[in-house]
Amino acid sequence: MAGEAAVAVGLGALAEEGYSTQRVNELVQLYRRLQELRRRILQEVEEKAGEDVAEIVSNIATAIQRYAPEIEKVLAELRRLGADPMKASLESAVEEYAEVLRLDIQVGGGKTLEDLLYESQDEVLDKLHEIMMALYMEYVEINETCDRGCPPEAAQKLEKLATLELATYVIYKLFQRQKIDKKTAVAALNEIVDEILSG
Amino acid sequence: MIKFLDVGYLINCRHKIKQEDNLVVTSCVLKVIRHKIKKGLHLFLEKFEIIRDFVKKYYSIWNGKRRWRNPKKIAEEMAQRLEHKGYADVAFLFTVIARYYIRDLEEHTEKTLLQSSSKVTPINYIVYLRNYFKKQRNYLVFPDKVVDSIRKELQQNNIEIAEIDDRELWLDLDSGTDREDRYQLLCIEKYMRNHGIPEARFLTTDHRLPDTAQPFENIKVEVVDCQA
Repeated sequence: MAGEAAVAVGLGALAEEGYSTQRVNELVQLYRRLQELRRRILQEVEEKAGEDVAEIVSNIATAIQRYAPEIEKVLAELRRLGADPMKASLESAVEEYAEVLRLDIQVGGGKTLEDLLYESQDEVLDKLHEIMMALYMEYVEINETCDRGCPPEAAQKLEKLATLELATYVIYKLFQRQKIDKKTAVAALNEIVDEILSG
Repeated sequence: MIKFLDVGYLINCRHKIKQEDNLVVTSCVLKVIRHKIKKGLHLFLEKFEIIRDFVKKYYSIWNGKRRWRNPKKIAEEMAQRLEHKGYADVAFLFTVIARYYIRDLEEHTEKTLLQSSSKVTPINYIVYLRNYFKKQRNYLVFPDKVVDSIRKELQQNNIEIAEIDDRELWLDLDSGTDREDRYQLLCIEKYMRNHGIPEARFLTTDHRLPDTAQPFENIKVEVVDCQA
């Protein structure tokens, strides 16, 4: 059950929180509720986060466990309205990453994300780009296997990816707030992308 | 007369390879391709940050959608760029990707990167490739996938693949820049000896190969420029 809760709050987190994509869905109120819960989890983890990815991932898992009953209430409501929360989260994450990876999102100064990727030597941005591409590749693949309900191994993998997505966002925020330096952020993000692609 | 193909001809002159020409590819050529792909992949992953910077610099002169291209075109342009920058092994990897249909990679690219458009921005393609190779340690099996795909295409075109027992051939060679060329020549020589073939041609794109082939009197090297 914690796995489903992780997927519900984690999938698409980086795209939504980092690049303000939005789920296109009539059940938007319930998704907003999930987004609120996600933000509370992120805030909680961020406040006590160090530099260690494994520790951040573990703190995220603990926080999700704590919020699981509240997340579960939202999921139950979604199911009552006929939605399959895991499938909906997955499909939505695929769409959101496809959108972000078009790279035409405005990032200020009249520039797009694509302009920034070509012009800058920002290692953190490069790593985030690698992570988003890796997540997109994984979600597309899992989405195929989950066509008629997710098999247990796919659900387990989604839970892991959801946690890594949230960890990416926490690392990024810590870097933005100068709680960790660039070198530490790049090393942590590198570890995350390797973990995403490891299987 | 029987004509053997070298690695360069097989990759660069793919469009010229026709069944009626009595062409033969030795298994040694495929082995060299596998070896070069393995080296290219290793370097690509090791020097990825540098290679991504080449992509950034090279394509930054275009804006937005004018930068977008078909992945094969990007691979071709990257191969030229990398060759020019002295990354010959990585350039070889990109040339093969540009010229041949590599099963699994192509299917995976279609399903993910090319889902909504036939053109992509080069920075996405280069990162996609890096992730594809790293995904579940795909880099370990990719050289075999390349060789399988080339083999399949040769078989479809009814080009003979001569299987050579090369155990002693590669090991007997000392190192040197022309080691792979001498190996291919030794394989041809062995095949000719075993099949009683007095004379053969060896098609190549490498202008230095006639020098390397001088000791092999019954193998006539023909240098072809397929890029032109």
